[in-house]
Amino acid sequence: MIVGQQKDFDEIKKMISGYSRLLVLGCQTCVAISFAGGMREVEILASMIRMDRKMAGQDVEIVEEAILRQCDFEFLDSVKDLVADCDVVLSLACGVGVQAMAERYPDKVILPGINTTFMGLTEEMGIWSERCAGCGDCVLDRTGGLCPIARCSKGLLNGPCGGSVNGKCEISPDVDCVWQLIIDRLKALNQLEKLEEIFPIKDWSVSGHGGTRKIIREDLTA
Amino acid sequence: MFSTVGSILVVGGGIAGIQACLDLADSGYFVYLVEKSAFIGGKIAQLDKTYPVNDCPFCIRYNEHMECASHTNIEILTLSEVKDINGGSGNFKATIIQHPRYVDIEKCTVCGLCAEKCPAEVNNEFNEGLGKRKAVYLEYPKAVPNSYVIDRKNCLHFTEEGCNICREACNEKAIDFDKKEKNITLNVGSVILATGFDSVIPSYCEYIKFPNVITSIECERIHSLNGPCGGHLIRPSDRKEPKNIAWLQCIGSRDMKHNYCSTVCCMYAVKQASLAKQSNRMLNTTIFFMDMRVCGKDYERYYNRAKDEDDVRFVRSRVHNVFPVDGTDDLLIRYADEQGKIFEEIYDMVVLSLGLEPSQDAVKLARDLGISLDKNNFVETSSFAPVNTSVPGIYACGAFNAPKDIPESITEASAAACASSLNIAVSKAASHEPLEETGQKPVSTGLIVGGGVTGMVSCLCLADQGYKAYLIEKTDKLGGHALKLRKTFNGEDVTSYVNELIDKVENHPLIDVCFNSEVKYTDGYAGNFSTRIAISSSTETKNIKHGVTIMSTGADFLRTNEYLYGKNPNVLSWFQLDKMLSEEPNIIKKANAWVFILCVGSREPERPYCSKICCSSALRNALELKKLNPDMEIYVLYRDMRTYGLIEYLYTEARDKGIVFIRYKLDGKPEVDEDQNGRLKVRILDNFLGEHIIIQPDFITLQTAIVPGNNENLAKLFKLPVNQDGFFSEAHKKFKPVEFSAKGIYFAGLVHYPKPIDETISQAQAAAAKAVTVLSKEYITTSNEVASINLELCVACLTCARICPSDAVIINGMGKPYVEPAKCRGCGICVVECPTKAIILEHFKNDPILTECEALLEPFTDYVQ
Repeated sequence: MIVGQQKDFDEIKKMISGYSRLLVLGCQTCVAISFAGGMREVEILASMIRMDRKMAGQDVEIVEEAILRQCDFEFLDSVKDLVADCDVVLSLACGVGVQAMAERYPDKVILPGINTTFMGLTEEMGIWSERCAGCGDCVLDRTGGLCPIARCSKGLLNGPCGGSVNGKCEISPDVDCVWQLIIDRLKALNQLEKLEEIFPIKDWSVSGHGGTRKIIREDLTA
Repeated sequence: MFSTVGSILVVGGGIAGIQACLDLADSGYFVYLVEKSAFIGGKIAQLDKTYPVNDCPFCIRYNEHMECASHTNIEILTLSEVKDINGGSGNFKATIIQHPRYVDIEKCTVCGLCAEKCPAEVNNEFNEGLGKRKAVYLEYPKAVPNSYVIDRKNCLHFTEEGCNICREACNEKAIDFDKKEKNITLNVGSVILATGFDSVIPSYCEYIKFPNVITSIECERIHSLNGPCGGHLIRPSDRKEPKNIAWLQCIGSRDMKHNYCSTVCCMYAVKQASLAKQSNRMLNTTIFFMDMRVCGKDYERYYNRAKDEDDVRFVRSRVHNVFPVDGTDDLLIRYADEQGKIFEEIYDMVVLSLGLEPSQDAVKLARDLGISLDKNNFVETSSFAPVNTSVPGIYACGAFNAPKDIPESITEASAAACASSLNIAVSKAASHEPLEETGQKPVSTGLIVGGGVTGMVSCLCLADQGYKAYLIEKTDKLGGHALKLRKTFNGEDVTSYVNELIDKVENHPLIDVCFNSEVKYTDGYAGNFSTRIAISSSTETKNIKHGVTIMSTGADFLRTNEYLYGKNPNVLSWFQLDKMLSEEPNIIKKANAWVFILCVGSREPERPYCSKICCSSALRNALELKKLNPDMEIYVLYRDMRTYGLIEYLYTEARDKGIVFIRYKLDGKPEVDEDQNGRLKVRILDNFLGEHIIIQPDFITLQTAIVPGNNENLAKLFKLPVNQDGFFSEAHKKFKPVEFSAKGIYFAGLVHYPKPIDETISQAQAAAAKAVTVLSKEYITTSNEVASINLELCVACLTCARICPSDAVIINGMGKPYVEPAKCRGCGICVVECPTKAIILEHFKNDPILTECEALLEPFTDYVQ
């Protein structure tokens, strides 16, 4: 899933200053699960804004809503009237959702309330970590199911660097060296020979370095 | 011979009476509740807040009052008195006089028109006379039964002939002045007396006539939000906020007439003073006391907070008189400090911390029934049968047995329910309980963990009512620490009691004792648990299916290294002294001097609780020593002498026998030394002399703290909460003393908190009574207060499943969560955490709560703006 993190409140305050009718719009999918932009966060953020405005002696009118997914135009239609009634939409969706809103409602100012952080998973309640960098050319078959692109600080493809000490990365003793993990896992799977195959230079063009990516499936398009 | 009757009479509808009724009724017995006033609930609604949790006692207990009123197994007779009880255990005939209410409970809609129109205004005794009410009245808004009543003594219809205003005002035609007194005969198998206490102002308190000298209950009413002053602490004479308030302790306790301790006054005074302080930081509050007796669970912490955080001032002195200050309504207090120096201070208001004495009507009834009472009219009971009176089939609980706090009263009420139902177990009344839900039958077996006195008593209570019981004991013998004890504080023989108990348990056909055993794994819910037991001598494990669990693993005593313990052989633990008393009395006869040191390891920063039993056991042993050797000099070094309740008799006796008491402070602990020959020397500051004195005892006995056993492991296995001191935490500190918040798991004894053997036994009985409410059900019922998930909103983020502390959330085959109602404890954590707000907890839905909050905040809206 996409993991998000709410923006600093001061930053949000600055963004919305001057607007008096707000729609705070959450997204009930990935960012709800990562506790950044679901209905719960919408209500908390809306209360914070109300309190802040009250203390500053300014009026504000806030409508709170969350929809199933902000990254699909079809769902966006359900908030048509709410959008029409407000000056600005503070979207708590990921960057995809914010852009979908901006595209669907070209006349309206759409602001992001969260930072879209990474694609990852919940390690345990309250802890999320990155797992995939969306490089467009998956190598997990050769690395024991552990991604060196997303999880090696240097994105190395052919084994650890000299900074791997006792299984930890040199950037911090809290960060596992993913290459150590890859080696341990391959050993356990009896597939260590996979490491002998050298990765050629990776084609980063499919990773977005060749421009914005787009997929067109002839079989699915009308 | 009588045949046994399966219903029970409970006399007194206060906290204890209601609890006894509910436990009995939930176990399928039919109960008559006789209450002399017009409403049940007793004194609870008069109390402002309850220590140590500071919540509203009435709000917490209201459900129980309602349940009592609507239970099909309970018949409430208000305005009723027991005139006579004949017959014998198993088959009593009780004659009850019921005075008319004059208002039909069925018809009254509590509209209040009658009271509005009533011309007769009288002092409101619910507010201790601090306000007015009408002659037709409802004691307080949510009083049960929820119906007005006419107070015949003050009603003009009766006093001045012919006033019919209320009858005409009532749209429901609920008022009938022609109702007559009724004589009711009840046939019951057992009787429980739960008649509570009276607070009486002793005759020496002439100063109560000054307007600003108030009683502790008046203080509760004044400070209560629903009281006559709306929660504003004001003094009666000029309705101004006082700047200094003094509390005088031991009014009607520990005096020549009442030579016992009322147990609760220290804590309620501390509570009143610190709450007063919390609502007005500028206020000065002083408590004048002799010994600060805060021995209950978490009480010491509460006391420390009052001292250190709320800045309540504590003065150790008994104040003998209060004088008026000329020209004002203020009051002068003259007191002597510990060195005998006299001080004078002026206060705006003085609160008298009134003691408790048995209710006078109850004393008369008990005498008529031939029940033995002690010199202060408390019911005489044995430590081993704490709720049995001297008359078989009649039981007593609560403050009629001895002054006691709410948790102990509730415990005793449940214990009395257990004992009284055992008395008639053979002829249990047919269950009148409606079956709201159908489904699984509970497993009619109990699992008891820990084979000390507590576990054995619980086991026998279950087995004697026909339920199979497994007793899990980690050692190879039953009895626990009680095997090392000789006598109770009353001098009763513990050893033979324990041996008798062991014998009964080991030979009971329904009890299966597993020695050398430990719980390895447990799962399930009330009515249907499954637990795996490992036996240490073999690799075998045993699976036990059971409906309830009782934790009774006890506690341990502190191994100290203070005061030369372990270095000098003449420094003894209390167990060692007990052993010496029974095995080597000759050594004692030769000793010239003996020192007892109290609070060894208790009430210290790292263990801020009172071990509750050390004072009484030291005094009991000191008196034994004195008996063996009357010439011996005995010194008891103490911090506060906490001989609460009737244990005070022991303290009086000890002083009479010439035992010397020297108080020390935490920062001036006694110093123990030895010379080259091992001869002991104790140096301590004498407060009267203001100088250090030296004692050269032959022996020193250390009253070491009671410390929790290894509860953490069990807590993890059973998912139970443990408090900061390491004892198990009950569902509610005041009102649910033997229950966990998880249904079907109960606890008793020292695993809860240190306590003497009588309180341990009543807890063990109470836990069994609670257990029977589950085991006796025809079907497993679940509470309505469980979480449920709206799957339309659920995004299956799994948060609820990850965080549920009871493992009640299961992910089903569709990838969606499901709450197992029998496992859910209604804690609400998942409701709060759910990112899509898909989970609701019945009775705690968002909208009603938010509406309530908004309504509460409405008066402050202007202020906020």
